[in-house]
Amino acid sequence: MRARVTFIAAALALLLVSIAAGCGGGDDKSSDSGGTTTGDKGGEIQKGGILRIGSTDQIDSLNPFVAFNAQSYIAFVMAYPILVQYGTDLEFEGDWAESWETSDDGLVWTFHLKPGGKWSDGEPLTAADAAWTGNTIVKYADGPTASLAPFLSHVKNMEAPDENTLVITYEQPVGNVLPQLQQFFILPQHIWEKRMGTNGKGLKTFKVESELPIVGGGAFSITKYDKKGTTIYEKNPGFYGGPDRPYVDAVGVQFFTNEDAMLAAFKAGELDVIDEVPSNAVESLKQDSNFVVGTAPGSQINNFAFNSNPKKPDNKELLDPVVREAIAHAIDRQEIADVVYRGNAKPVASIVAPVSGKWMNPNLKPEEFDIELANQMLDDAGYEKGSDGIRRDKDGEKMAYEVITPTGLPGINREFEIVRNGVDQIGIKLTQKALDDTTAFEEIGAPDYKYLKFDLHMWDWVGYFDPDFVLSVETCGQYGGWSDNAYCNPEYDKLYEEQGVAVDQEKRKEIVWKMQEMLYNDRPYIQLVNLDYIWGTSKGWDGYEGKLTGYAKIPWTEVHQVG
Amino acid sequence: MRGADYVIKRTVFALMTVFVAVTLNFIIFRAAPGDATTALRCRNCPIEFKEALRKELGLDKTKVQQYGIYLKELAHGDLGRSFASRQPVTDELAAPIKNTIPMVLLGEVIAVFLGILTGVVAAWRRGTLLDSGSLGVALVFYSLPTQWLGLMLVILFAGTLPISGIGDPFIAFTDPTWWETLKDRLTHMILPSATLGIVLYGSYALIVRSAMLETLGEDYILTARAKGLRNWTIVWRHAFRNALLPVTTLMAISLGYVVAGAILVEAVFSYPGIGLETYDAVFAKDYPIVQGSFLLLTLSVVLANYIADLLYFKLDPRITT
Amino acid sequence: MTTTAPQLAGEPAELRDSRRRPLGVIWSVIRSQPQAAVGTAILVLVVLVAFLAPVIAPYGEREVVGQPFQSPSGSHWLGLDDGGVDMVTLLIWGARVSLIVGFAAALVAMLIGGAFGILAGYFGGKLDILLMRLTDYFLVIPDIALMIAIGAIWGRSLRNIILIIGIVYWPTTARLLRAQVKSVRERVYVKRARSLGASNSRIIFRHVLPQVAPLLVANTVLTVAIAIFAETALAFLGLGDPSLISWGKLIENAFEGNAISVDAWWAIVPPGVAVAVVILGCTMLGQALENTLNPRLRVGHLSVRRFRLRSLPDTIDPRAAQAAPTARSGR
Repeated sequence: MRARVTFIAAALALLLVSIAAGCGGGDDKSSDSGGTTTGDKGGEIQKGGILRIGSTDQIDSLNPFVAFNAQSYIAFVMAYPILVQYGTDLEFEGDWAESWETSDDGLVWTFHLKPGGKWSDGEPLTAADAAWTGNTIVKYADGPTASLAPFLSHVKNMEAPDENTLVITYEQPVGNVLPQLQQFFILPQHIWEKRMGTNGKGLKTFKVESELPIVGGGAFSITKYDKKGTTIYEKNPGFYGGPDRPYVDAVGVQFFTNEDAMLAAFKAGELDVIDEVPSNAVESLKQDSNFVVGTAPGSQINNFAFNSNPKKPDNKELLDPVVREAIAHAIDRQEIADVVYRGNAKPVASIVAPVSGKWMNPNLKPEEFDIELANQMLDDAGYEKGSDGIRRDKDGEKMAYEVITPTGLPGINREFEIVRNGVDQIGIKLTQKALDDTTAFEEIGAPDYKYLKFDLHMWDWVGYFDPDFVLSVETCGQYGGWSDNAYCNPEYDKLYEEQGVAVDQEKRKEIVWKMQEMLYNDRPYIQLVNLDYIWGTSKGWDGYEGKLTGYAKIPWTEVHQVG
Repeated sequence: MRGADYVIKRTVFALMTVFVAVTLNFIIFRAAPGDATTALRCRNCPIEFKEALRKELGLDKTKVQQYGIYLKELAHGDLGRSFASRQPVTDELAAPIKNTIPMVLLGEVIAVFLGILTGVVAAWRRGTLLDSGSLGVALVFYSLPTQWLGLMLVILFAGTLPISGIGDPFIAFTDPTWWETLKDRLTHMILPSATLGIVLYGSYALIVRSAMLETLGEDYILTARAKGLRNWTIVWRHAFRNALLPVTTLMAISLGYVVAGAILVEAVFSYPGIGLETYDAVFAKDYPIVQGSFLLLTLSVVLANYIADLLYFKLDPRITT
Repeated sequence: MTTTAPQLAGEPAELRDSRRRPLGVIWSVIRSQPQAAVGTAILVLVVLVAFLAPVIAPYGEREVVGQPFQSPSGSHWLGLDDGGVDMVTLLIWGARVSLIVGFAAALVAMLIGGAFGILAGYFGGKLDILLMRLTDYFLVIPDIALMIAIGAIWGRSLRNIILIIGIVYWPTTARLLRAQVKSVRERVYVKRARSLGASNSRIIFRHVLPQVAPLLVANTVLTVAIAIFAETALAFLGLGDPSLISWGKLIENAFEGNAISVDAWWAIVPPGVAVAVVILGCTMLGQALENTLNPRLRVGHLSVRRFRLRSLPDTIDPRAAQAAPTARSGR
């Protein structure tokens, strides 16, 4: 009897102990809350506090040379100085730079930096840090720093004639310097230089998150990092944009694996901002007076991709432009926008999103959803339907294909179903092969990024305002890099180079339009829908400019509690 | 002597199972497609960099050599390093395990409590509606898919109780007391634990009931009755005590499995425990983490079974073998 | 034990009388115990619904008939799912895949487990030890984790899911059968058959198998319950076949489609209830069968689902020891 009672008592004690232990050390840092002050803008700006953001995107790494996810890039924008950023009107304004000028030949850019900035560990922030970062990236652009190198393309070198002046020399005049430099994160030389290792290898293997707090020179430093949980950013007292900014003392980004959980936490008041509202929940959230739903045109475009490698051995009929166009007419984009995204998306035709403004070619229109026309086209081209309703190609083989889909893309299953149903009606049978993102990308590139095996896939691109990046993914050089459909057209590459150095904006626009037209006609992708970017804020906060997320420090420096 | 014999047999068996588990773990995961460069998502890596990385992680050696290295490291308690984060696996798994164990324990407590309650009531009022009714309810709960029950609890309690995470991540900023932190943890734990407890208690109820019925029918109970002892004394002192034996054993064994089985609950409640960690690592092809986690889970099951065997041997006065 | 009447101590009447008619045994249990009858009725009903799906489903299973998550109405008793498809239709069609996976996977488990158990129990010795070691290893690996790992490696298809579930759940069957076969071996007429020179396989198929068949069936019925549960678990974790409609897939769709945030309970509750009903039916039937055919196996049948117990009675249950020393003699 006693033994058993003891056993039960021990078990309960164990339970309590483990709960307490699981609480583990605990962060008992408390920051000072700023309290209420009447803001200097006259409004009721409450300084201080902590902004709690919910996200379903992880910060996959705090090393800028390794990170992949959007949320990581947001972290870098906030924690590190960048020369310029997008402003509220989507025009460029200085972040660290106060002003800048270009030499007449366009090769030398001089940036005058805001003085007095300090890194969060107290070290002075000077132009030397910027020069070191830039030169290091350029030096190892073929290796460890490859992921950030595209933002310094054609840079010859950087110099810091004095503490507050940075001089960047280019090899040739470049048309989109500012958009590129917006992603040029300036790292603390005194932290990173000693970790370079041989040939810079150390840069890529440096486990930044193992040394908290992360020294930041921007508006925040990172004091707590939990890839699967919450990351805390604390105000950098040495911020060159301060001392009045940021208004908040700290920002916390909490990662959620599940959108419902994030939404529930938001509604319960455990979060102040959610960076994406699931389409199904937008309506009900809009009707709740405790919250404000923000909408802005987004950069995400979902697509349907064809393996465009002319060397692919099987199913070469998918290289036939007629087949591609027919399929394009068999996809009901509007249904996707309505059913999958509840109207928070619209059909598009180009890889460049409408949010890019003048860079998107407005003359390209999505193909009409017309089953009859599609059937007619395929009939005329000689792809006869068999007795089972499925067409045969010129070799008599069934036109039935596998479509690879990444499980990490919300809504992909429904989207595929709509595509499959439409394409079914023109006699082509599609089956879904759902793989996790990493495996999906491998299968697309198989074998060894020669792109010889896959036929079709559905994925998306999320570009920037500036079209350079999203256009670059279709260049021949991106085999094994960003390319997911093995498109390679030397003429397209030539245009890409040209737009990269076209200083005249009008001329650059023409080239960019032409590139989009080329892609439209060659059709390595069928662009499906462009998603709106929708975020939610609770009524107690103001000044959160969601549309600038990832493009500027503004969302976090301007946000404040209201009285 | 018989006792020692039994203990030795069980120990050898446990150790052997562990060894087989370790080997088969290795085979499953090293034979699988994808390797370190996959986990790093090294899209823009030039080929030399990938080769260097493979070399660094020891993936260029033969499988047999890798197995040898794996065993050697294991003997030193080194579970290797995560492909994705390059941190030691033991470090990466420490927090998830610390999260899962209290949650599972609480779930077990709930299950045992409900199970004993139901079992005792059913045995006591055997043959009546209360008996079949409570058992029926237990059976129904047992039949519910775990994740579905979790979702039901989410729907019911979404406004009142937290439905995700292990605690309020921002609580540090309010300078909480020890009690407030504990309360925070418990409120986040209660729903996942309740889910586990509800789907588990059915089996406990059945065991308690049948064990009690067995004892209630035995001779010495009749003797106790004849002596004039009150009903509830009989029930409590004799029948219940004997029901405790299989329950204890069942608990010990189930603890081992439930830690792994908690993955469904962790998925529904976004509870960052060992189950969810394993799940994520499998999809990220971070094999050292998966291997390490499998090993730990297998070990926990073996350990739990081992303890259950010993417990059963020790607690049951009738084993004389 | 006794010499003339081939009878096992504590053997239930049903088993003794209908020894050569395994089906008869099962039928008699169903007839005599209401629990078994109810369980059978449930299963038969669900199978019928699944079979008649094309006939009784009110709409097409891929037919979009309204807005996503439209609430229940006169024309759609259970509303619509996240794609705008009628839930009642989905439930009916989903029965097919869920049942197919359940029965097929249980069959796989029965074949593997049965083979292992019979061979180990019949031949004993080194083969027994080897097979049981293997079984123990599988018992010890966390089941869902193993399914996830294999599922991620092999890929998502119906065939794979069936195989995976079968592979993970055969050990209990093996253990159970081994114990049963061991006791059957002791029976006099088996010994007689051997001394008459009958070959091993003949003995196994003509004498041993019919004896253990009822218990095997009982265990398989319980395995069906586990298999259906496992299918929902796999689907929920994103490892199910994406092109097939199953009850598990319906739950996952609702979860992914944010049904909770829009309070669309009709997308979540029905599939779970359906699964529970089938599992309940299987458990009732299987439990009744096992109770009757092997009353010593008290502990463990419910536990089979959550944690696969090594059969306690086989090794250390003292009551079993007292009741049938021959079973424990390990010969």
